[in-house]
Amino acid sequence: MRPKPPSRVELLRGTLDLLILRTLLPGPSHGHAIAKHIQRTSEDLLQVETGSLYPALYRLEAHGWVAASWDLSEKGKRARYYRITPLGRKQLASEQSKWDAFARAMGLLLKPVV
Amino acid sequence: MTSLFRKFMWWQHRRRKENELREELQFHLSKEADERQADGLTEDQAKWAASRDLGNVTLLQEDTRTLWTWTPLEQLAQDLRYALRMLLRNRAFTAVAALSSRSGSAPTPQSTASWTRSCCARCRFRIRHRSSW
Repeated sequence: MRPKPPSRVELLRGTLDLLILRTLLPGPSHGHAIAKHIQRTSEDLLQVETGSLYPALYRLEAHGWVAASWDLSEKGKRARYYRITPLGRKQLASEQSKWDAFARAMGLLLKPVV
Repeated sequence: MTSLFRKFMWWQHRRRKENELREELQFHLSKEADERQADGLTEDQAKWAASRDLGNVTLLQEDTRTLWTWTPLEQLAQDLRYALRMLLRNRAFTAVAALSSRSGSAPTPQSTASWTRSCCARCRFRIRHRSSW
């Protein structure tokens, strides 16, 4: 019998951009692979809905944080690959430091040192 | 390139952007179906499950389209076109409105009431006329 999947967590607003930018850091990827990477890396806790993923990718592209180009996938099909831009790296660093500060603050509040 | 400039560029090539999005979603769908088939589903089941997972494609496309459309401006243009059509259709009203605005005399309650009565009378006539068809 398959183990029961953990209940999924609602993504906070703005977190999806951070997750996408972080996923693209090692190299270019298409939308489907980005969604699967986030799902697998979070051990199925985070699932990116397609309805949120593609508008987010196009929004990131409009900001100039990612760039897209058409290329052939591993199975020879045409796919749109996204890569992070230098501007996107800066944005990622800024968002990541904000997130670290937020996580630290939450940790201090939820598990206060006695 | 600022995001406003990019939006303008995308708006100019909006047909191409829409086709790209459609093709991209098609690729997503086929990848998802392939994975599900590899998990043991039949081809039909895999396709059905993949499209169910993808959700409302029209809504998704509409959400994404907002990045290269100018919805408030497009709605304003639509409203202006509608107003122009209405003014051309009711030429008498347009003439009265233009003359009263030119002479600087605002319509009085009496003139508005008489205008409304004549319009309503015409509407009733049209409705009666149509109901006899």
